Amino acid sequence: MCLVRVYALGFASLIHCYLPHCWIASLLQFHYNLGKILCTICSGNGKDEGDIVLLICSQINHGMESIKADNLCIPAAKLNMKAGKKALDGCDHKTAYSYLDTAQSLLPDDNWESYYDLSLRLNFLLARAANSSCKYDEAELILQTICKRARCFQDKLPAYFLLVTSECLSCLFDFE
Amino acid sequence: MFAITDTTLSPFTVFLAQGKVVDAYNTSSSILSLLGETVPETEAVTLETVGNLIPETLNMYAEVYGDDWLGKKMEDNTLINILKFYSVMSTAAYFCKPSHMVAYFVCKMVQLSLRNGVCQQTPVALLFFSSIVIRFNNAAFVG
Repeated sequence: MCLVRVYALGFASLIHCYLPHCWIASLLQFHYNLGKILCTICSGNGKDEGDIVLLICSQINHGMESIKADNLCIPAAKLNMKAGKKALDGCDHKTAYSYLDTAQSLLPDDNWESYYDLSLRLNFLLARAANSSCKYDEAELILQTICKRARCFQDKLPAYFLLVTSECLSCLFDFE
Repeated sequence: MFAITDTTLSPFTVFLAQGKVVDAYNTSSSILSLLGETVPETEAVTLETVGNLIPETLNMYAEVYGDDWLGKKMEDNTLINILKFYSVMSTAAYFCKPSHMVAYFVCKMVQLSLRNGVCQQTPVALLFFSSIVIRFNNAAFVG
C-alpha cells in the first residue's frame, strides 16, 4: 500500500514538472484517472482503502467536472466522506472539513429527500469538523439544519448534543 | 473552571456568552424531558434538597462500588444520552444557575451510573462529584 502511495505521488510530481502550462486540463484529467485507478486497486474485493483514501480523494477531486460528467457524484461524495472521517479520527480537523465540504458540494439540492442517511451522517461530520476548526457559527447553522431536517428524535440527538456542547464551549472561549 | 484574563471584556460579550449558555441549558432541559427525565425548576431545588442528596449519593456509592459494578457496562442508549445531557447541563448550570444546581445534576449523573453501570460519562461524573464532596465537607458549598 505504501509503495503504491510513493509511486503515485512520485509519478504525479514528475508529470507536473514536464507538462506545459496549457495542458492543465489534461493534467487534471490525469489526476482524476489516477485517483480512479488507485481506488479500483485499493478497494477491490470490498476491502478497505485504509489511510490511502485521503490520497485517492485528493487525486479524484482534481476532476470535479469529470465526476459530474461521469455521473459519479454520489460515489465520490461517499469517498470524500470516508476521507473526512479518517482525517477527523486523526484529529486533522481542517483537512476533514475540506473533504467533507467537497462531499457536500457533490450532493444534489434535494439530498435530504433522496439520500437521507448519507446527508445526515455527512452533515453531522461536517458540523463536527467545523466546530473543531473554530467555525462555530457555521457549525451551529449545520446543526440547526440537521435538527430541522432529521426525521426522528433519535437522529436529532447527536446534533442537539453537539449544539449544546458547542454553546457551552463558546461561552468558555468568550471569557478567556 | 475558567479565568477572566481579559480586562477589556465588554458587557456585551458577557451577555452574548450568557445568552448562549442559557440556550444550552434550556435545550438540554427540553431534551432530558423528552428522554423521560424530570428536570425541576431552579426554585424547586433548594440548598436543603441538595444537602440531603449529596450524603444519599455517598451512601449509594459506598453500597454499590466494587468490582461487580466496575464490570457492569451501561447498555441502554437512552440512559447514556441522559448522562451526556446531564453532563452538558451541569456545565451550563455552572455559568447561569446557582452553584447548588450544578451539584444537583452531578448527583443525578452519579446516581444513574451507580444504578445502571459504567459508561463513558461515569469518570467525569465521579470527578465532578468528588470536587463537590470536598466543598460540601468544607462547608464552602452550603454557604
